[in-house]
Amino acid sequence: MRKFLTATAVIVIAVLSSVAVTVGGALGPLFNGVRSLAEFYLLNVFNAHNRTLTAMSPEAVTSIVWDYRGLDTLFETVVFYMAIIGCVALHRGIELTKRGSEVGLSRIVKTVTKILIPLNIVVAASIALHGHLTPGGGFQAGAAMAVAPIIIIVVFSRFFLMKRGVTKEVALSLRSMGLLGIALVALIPLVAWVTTGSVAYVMQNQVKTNSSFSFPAYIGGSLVSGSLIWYNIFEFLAVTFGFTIVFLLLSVDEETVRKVLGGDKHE
Amino acid sequence: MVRRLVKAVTPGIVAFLTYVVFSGSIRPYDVVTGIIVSVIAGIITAELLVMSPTKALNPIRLFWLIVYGLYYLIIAESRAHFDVAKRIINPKMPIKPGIVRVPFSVKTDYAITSIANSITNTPGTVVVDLNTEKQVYYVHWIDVKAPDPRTTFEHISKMFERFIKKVFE
Amino acid sequence: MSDATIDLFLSNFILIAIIGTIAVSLYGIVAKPNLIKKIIALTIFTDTANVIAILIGFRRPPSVPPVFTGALTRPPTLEELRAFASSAVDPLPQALVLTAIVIGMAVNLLIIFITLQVFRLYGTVDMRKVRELRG
Repeated sequence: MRKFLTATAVIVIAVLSSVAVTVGGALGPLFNGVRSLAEFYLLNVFNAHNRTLTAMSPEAVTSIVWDYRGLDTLFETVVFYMAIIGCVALHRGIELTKRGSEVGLSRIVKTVTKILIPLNIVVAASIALHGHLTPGGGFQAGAAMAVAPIIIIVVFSRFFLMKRGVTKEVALSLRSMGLLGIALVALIPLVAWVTTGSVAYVMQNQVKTNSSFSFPAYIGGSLVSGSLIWYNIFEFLAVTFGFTIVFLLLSVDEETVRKVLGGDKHE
Repeated sequence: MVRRLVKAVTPGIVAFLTYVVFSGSIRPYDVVTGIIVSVIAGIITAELLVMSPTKALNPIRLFWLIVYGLYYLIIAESRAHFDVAKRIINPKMPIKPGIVRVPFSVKTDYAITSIANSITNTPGTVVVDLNTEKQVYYVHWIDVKAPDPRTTFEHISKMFERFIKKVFE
Repeated sequence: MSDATIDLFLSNFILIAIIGTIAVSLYGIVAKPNLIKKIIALTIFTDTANVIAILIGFRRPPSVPPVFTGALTRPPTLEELRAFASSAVDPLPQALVLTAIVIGMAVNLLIIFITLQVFRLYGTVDMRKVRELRG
């Protein structure tokens, strides 16, 4: 009976919203041009003739993420941070032992994995460092980079990674360094305000109408899009090691966790 | 430390080439960031990847690697493809599948892996497992001529091993 | 058939398919007792919502991605920028979806962790059984 009621409710909601979006046109006209806000972004994102509105980057998505809507992304990073802190807190008291059996998969798989690791690092770094030029950016690069620890954990074992220095503590501090970097880049305009006396705002990238502060858009003739490249690099660091922590915690064996969690045997 | 830097040269070069190919451009920005990133990647993975730096930088071995690549892609692959295609097209389907032992006499990880991958990548043979103590691969073979080690070695991995020994051993 | 008719048909077809998927995933979240199946339904729900957002910003082909392709060493001229702005798809939904994916991933990690701990404590992820167990 309860399942029947749930199913009926879901079907009614689905039919009503279908009618709303198709006949009622609740989402507006689709496929037919873009909204005026989008045209503003597309026209101004790399518009060097109007420096007060531009982000000096050919990549509109990264510009919105880290410049136009930068504070949203800052808080999104905080949500990510909180989720990982939550995972670490759920695992408190459980020790990640450094020693254990390092059997892993066969020698063929291990050798191929070893060769893939440097290639994984450079591909992820390329996504991060070209985040302001081509699609991609800090988060995508971090997700690509997190493939390296997970395949090492699967193919070799957690102890292989931890013996070579990638422990939970190291990953936590490197991730904190990434977050600290993001915060510092966001606060540099304020420091400039205090030291030079000219007005500047938090997370400012290029000059604004009443502020002359600006991150350099070009370094040595190469486009770096002001603060975007720095945000991408630090986000890359933070996301990579955030995922590494979670993978390390997920790879703890059942017996160790059960010993800490306690509880009675279930029949 | 110096030894580690020397070891990092080969992985660094491979990493740099991958970076440039993946980025798809060679503006000064790509070259500068590519060098920084591949130096870091090379130093991180040097101890893991390279056992002896002189071996990794030996041009004769590189030459044999190229020769082996040409032999493998042009001769060995086409012969195996032709053989399997013949079996598929033949209405009687003359297959006699089975898993056989194939011995090998190489020592290093890279040599073992390249022979195994060469066997797997040619149609008709797949390495299922290996035993490093007994020095045998367990190979699934589409047309088992005879299960004794000499025949299997002769038919499956003799040429691969001859080249691989020059490259990696 | 005119372009407008095709657009109307295609957009309605896609929208109804998306809403059907959302309905199925909502049913999964509410009615399935297994926590893992609930999580799978939740991820399907998130991804479908993201597809709607991307669909709103879509533009009829010939359209280009919202990345300016051209000479990067010199600033582009106004004509190039206008041509770009009149052919590119909407970048704003893509940026919002990027944010949504990151947050979704973080939340998924956390609830998977909680589910894992539930399994370790109770030996089951079936909510009907977990409800009966006490202490």
